[in-house]
Amino acid sequence: MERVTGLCAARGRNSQHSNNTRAPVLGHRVVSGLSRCTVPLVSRKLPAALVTRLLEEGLGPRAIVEHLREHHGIEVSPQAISTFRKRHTTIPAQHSTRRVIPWDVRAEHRSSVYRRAILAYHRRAQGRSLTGEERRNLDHVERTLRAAGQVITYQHDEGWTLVPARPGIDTGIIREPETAMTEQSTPPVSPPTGTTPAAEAQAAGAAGGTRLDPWFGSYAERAHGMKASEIRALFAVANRPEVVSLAGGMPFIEGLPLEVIGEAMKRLIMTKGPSALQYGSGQGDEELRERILEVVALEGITNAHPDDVVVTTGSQQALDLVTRIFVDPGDLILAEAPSYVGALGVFRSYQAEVEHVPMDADGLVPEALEAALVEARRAGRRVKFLYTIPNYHNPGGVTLSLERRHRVMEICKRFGVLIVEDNPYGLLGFEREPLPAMRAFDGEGVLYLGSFSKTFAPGYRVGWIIAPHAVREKLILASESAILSPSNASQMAITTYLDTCDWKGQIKAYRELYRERRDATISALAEHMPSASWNVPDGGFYVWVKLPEGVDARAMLPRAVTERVAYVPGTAFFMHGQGADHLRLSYCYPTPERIREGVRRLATVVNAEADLARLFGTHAEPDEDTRDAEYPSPDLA
Amino acid sequence: MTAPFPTTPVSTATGAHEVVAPGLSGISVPARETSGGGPQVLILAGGLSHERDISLRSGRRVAEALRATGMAVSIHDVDSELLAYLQRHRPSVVWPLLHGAGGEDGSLRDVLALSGVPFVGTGARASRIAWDKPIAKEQLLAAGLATPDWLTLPQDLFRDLGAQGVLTIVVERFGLPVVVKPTRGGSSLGVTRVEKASDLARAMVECFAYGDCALIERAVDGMEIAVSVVDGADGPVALPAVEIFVDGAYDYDAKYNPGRVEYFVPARLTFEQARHVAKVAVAAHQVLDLRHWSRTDVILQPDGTAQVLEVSVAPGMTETSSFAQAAMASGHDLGTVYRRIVESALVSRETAAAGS
Repeated sequence: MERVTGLCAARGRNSQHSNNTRAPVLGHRVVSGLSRCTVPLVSRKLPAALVTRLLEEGLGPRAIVEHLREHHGIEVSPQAISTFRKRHTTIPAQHSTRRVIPWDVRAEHRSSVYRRAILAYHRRAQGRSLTGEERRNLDHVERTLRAAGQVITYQHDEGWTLVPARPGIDTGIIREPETAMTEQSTPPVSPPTGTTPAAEAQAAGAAGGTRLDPWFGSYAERAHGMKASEIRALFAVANRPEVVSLAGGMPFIEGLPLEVIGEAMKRLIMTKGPSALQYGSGQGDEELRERILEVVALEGITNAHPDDVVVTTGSQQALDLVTRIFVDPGDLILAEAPSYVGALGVFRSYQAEVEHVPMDADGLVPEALEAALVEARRAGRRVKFLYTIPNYHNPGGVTLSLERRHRVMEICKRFGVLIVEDNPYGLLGFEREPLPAMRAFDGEGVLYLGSFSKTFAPGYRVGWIIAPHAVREKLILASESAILSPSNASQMAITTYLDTCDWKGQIKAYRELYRERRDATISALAEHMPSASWNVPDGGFYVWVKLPEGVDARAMLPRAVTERVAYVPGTAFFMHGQGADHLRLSYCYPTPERIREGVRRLATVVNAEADLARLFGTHAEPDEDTRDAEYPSPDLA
Repeated sequence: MTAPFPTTPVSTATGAHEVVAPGLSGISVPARETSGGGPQVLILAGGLSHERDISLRSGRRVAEALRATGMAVSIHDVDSELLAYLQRHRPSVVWPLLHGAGGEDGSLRDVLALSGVPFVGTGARASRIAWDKPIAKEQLLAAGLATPDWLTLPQDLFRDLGAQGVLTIVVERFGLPVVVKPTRGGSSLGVTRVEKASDLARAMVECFAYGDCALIERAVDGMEIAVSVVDGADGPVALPAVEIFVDGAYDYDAKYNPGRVEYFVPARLTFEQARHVAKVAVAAHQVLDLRHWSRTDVILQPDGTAQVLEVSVAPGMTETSSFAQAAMASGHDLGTVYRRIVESALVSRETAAAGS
């Protein structure tokens, strides 16, 4: 028989798989003929240009065979196509790793886990199924890469390496070598003109934009306002010792007897460690609750039971819990004008509406309160509670007189409005013993919030609420869902402190300290800033200053920082941006000399700003975007 | 470069698959040893300017990136202890990452130059020029670059001539809209775009809170582009441009709180536009005699003109800053780009020493 060309012999070898009946089956004799065939396997019948084009399009041998058969009536074998490809073209095989992995992988890097992962990655992308092992390998590699924000690339001397993924550009797990950096080139790849790489990257096609916050669209409505403004950033400067900060509310705790407290803590952990370090009751440690009643007895509250007390992580959390159980989005809360910035933040986060009720030298004005309640009733608005700081108000400095306390309680009872009495400063009066709390007169209509932060120290984060029975039960459940239980270690530490140290003496020492500072502030104000006006607090930490006409406390803060003094602009203490004509000075932390220096600096700033306001005819304006955090963080003096 | 990821056994002989978390099973990426002989970098971050907060964040980010490449990095604030610290520790190179006056106006750089420490960035004299916007703009204009028309008005002028008169003449003769900004400042502090004449007085007051001289510039509309430039082996090279697409004003909140701004890196420009913008940035870098690194903010008008707004000698390096985004988009690892900047500072110092 005439020596057949390898082509037919090849077909013969595959004849059992072929369903083509046009060519004769030649039988196994041909198989042996193939192995000795020395004729080149490319048949003269094979249209080289066409096959090359089909190969470039990415068709595989079988597909090309079909194509040739259908459209050109040419009979070839897949093997012939494959051989043609290898010998006469440089096109890599359809599924070869050369096509998948475009860069030159060295022999020693060939069996790397990355190579396998890349192959599996492409196979999966083509819709082919992976073996279990391949899948596991790929999953592992992908997970690790995404967690680390990296992609795989290959470098000649280092082999497989990981480089940081470019956001928006590296979407897979592989980076092609043309855009990968190599150690040899001087990055950035610098051409003669020095401008092309930027342009080329551009021309390569821009990826989609990034907001640098992948969760930008996911935030809850209530979180939209949680952002820091440039005013808050200025308080970072206030932390420097060169700046006299009259801004923060950090208590001056340097005078605490640290050795005694330390010893007590040590004994506590050694003797009661297992319970101090364990979860505790959601309502709070019972012993501490009893001690708390001893503390509030000083403010006239003698009609409470330890079961009425819920211990919280600072009275800030108490505010949060009370608001959480009472306030739906859109509910109305009445607060004083101005009010505590931390409370406004809580109310904002629960999407409440807040209306401010005016105060004067004796605190909240009862007539104004009544008018506000009448107006609310007329408008069909539901007032959930009145939030008040009756003693040494933050930031106002004023105290609600005894007579007004009764009137406020009477009004609220008449309108069915709960009173939330927040009293961190009650024991820090300079002139007299504390007035009785409103809670002392009314157990059902008043929630009393207290704290050890100013009378002892803030670091333990222990505060409390005294509430009537049904409210208390809800508060406990709300607290458990927030924190499980307040810190046992902190609570027991405070109990130990109250039992072993002279805490009343400490409060007296604080009073003296803060009185001296108050005196320095007031005398410095009188001396340097006669054009402003202020209240004289008889306790607490704060002086509320009204600025001369035209001066805007918020716009003035950068200038003050340049002059090395800081304060909190009044706009922080109002819900809707009012208060730019006031500022709050805290005298709790700096020494009296520093306070005097600070007020002197502030006076120069105020005078310069007043000049400027006169010059341009401007005046204090409300802050448009009140959601920005515009107060210092708690750990800034 | 980061060490190759360790080959974790994916399948053992029995076919079981171990999921290995580096650090838990004992297989961990070997920490890159900081060679004792390598350069010691001191980053200066903080300062007492209005941009202290940004500076602290920039310093931390750059330190992190440099440490990842194996450099020994320490951070220090600019306070009364700095000079003693420099004496004691003698770092190989100092990278001042202070934003705002003190850091960017050249005063600190003069002192660093005197104490003989090589530092990253533009020299003191060029810094002072670049920091003062009107003077920088004048230089750019003289070199043929486009920058919006402007007025420079110190606070005293308003006092002397009467504010109302000056404002009226500005509105009538210069026209609105304008952008009011302090002549020296960054981070959009004190910057207001004024559309109505009635807002101009307020904008001036807010501007003067940050400095006693105001720049009133014609408002230009177009694409906001930030082009970062790094000194390469053959001269300054522009990194891919960053397009800043913001709803509302590109103010402090937009710059430093992620979310409001959408960044396109590389910017959505044609090849020609990209080349033009890059050329402008490189030209600005050269005209103002800047060194090692800088960032130029331009507005690309629809007619193709790239108006230069400002050139920064100490660009922000926070999580939202354009410089880092541009560096990453150029295909390079961030730490390596920073490392190159540090090394070029060392090299220029050495060549200067060799030449003298």
